Amino acid sequence: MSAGRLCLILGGLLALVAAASLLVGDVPILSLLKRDPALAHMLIVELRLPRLVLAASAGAALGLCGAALQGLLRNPLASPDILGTSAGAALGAVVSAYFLGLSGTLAMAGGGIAGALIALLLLLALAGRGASSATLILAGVAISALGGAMMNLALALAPSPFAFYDIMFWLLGSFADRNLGHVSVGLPAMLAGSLIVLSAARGLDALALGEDVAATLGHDVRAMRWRIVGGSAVAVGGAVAVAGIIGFVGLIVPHLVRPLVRNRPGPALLPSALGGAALLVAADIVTRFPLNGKTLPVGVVTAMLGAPFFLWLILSRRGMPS
Amino acid sequence: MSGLVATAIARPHLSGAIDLAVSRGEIVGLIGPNGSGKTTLLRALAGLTAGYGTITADGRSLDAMTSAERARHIAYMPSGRRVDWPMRADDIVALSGAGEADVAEALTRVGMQAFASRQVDTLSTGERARVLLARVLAGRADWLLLDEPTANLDPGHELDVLALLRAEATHGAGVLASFHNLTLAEAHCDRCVLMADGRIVAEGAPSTVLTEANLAEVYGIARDGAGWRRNAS
Repeated sequence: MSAGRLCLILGGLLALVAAASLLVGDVPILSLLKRDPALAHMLIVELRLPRLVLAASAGAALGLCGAALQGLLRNPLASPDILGTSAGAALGAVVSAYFLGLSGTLAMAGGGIAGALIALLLLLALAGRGASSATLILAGVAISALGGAMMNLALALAPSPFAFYDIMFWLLGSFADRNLGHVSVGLPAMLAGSLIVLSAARGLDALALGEDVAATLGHDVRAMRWRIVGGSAVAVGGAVAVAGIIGFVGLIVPHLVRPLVRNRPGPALLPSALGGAALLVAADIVTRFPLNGKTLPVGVVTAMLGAPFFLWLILSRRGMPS
Repeated sequence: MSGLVATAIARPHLSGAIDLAVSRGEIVGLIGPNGSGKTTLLRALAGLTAGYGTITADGRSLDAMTSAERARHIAYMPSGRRVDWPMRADDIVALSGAGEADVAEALTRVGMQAFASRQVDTLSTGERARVLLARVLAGRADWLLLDEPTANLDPGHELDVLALLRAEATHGAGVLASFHNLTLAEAHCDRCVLMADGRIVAEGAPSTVLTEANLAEVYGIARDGAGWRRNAS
């Protein structure tokens, strides 16, 4: 299948789940449209639409960055959450919002981007170039553990019980109660980061033959690395700041998409973004059906889907060289 | 000055500064024991380690070229046969920037046309080596820098590769390739460059380079009939 055709199909899928996302919820929007069009309009524009836009853009950013990081590191196990990028972003956002006294979504986004960048640079410094899967995952685990420990410290030092609860719930990942303010901060960051990452797509296929060959084929490998690392930091930092930690989207989606584009990492980027958006919008719809009277955090839904997939991935790689 | 000319290449693993030139139309065999600096020299000539000496292609400095220009002049194949994703053979050859027809032709030349749509992870090491060689041929570069192009190949395919390199040279390309098979290098190279401990020990026609004295000094081996034997140390 050509990448263009796959994008069309995934775009259609995204349009379907997006429509569902606007319609499904506590309030039956279609009947409300007849009874009180003004209220229905307000509900859609101020509640459902921000939620949809954030879920779609965060899903796109995570899917895209997962695919790009897998291509850059030439490693199918790479993704923002497994490499510790999301943990770094979360820590950065919490520190800037609750400890540096900077309030608002903008401060959280700034902190998230800085945290994600530090985590990615630390990863590259720890694992080095051309690291094996084992080294890379180990470095990611170490960074995630460090981020988790610092986050626990931040929770222990939380300024108030309310802050503690806020941080805890935000960490689980959710799009509930997001407004246009979140969109105005999160969307530009995710969009800008994603565009920077996409600009590095061209050389990713050649990288499959190693950095030396990619360079002699005329690709600037250094620039490619910086664009993907920097762009991922901005996009993932923005996504985590508005939605918390949402795992596994960046891992699963590229895996589902890549075989459909003949396993070429470059053409897998855009479909991974569309697929990630569709997956996360769908997962966000699932959260609206209360379980035991409580709504589920979207991060829990993706983890329920993603963890078994991750296990399958490890099993399927057993016996393969690292 | 025509040819690919490297002047005063200095790198870690190389002792002193190395000068080397490859002309169009010739196959130069780079030989020497493991760790003698062959790969380091090949990578330097490919422009992968800029700033350690000067390299010119037909008189133009590599530093003055854009990366795309450089790619048209020089093709490089590392000794590793690793491909990180299970991509199709024709997609790999297309990484050279060649069009569909050139990709098919290159695959035919290495005898892999029937495997065009196969994923490389389903190919044997030798088959994968031929696909990777097809990638180099499809780019139609002026100079081919190949690190052990016959590694992992059976004797028949070794000879096929040398025949392909000869055809490239006849069409005006310059080939610099490292070999561990001395018999092959002696029979098929126009010139040999013998390296040891990061320097060039001897350079010239194969018969003047692969002498008893040089082989004894560099490899610690001597001719034994049609093969080789280890010298007593």
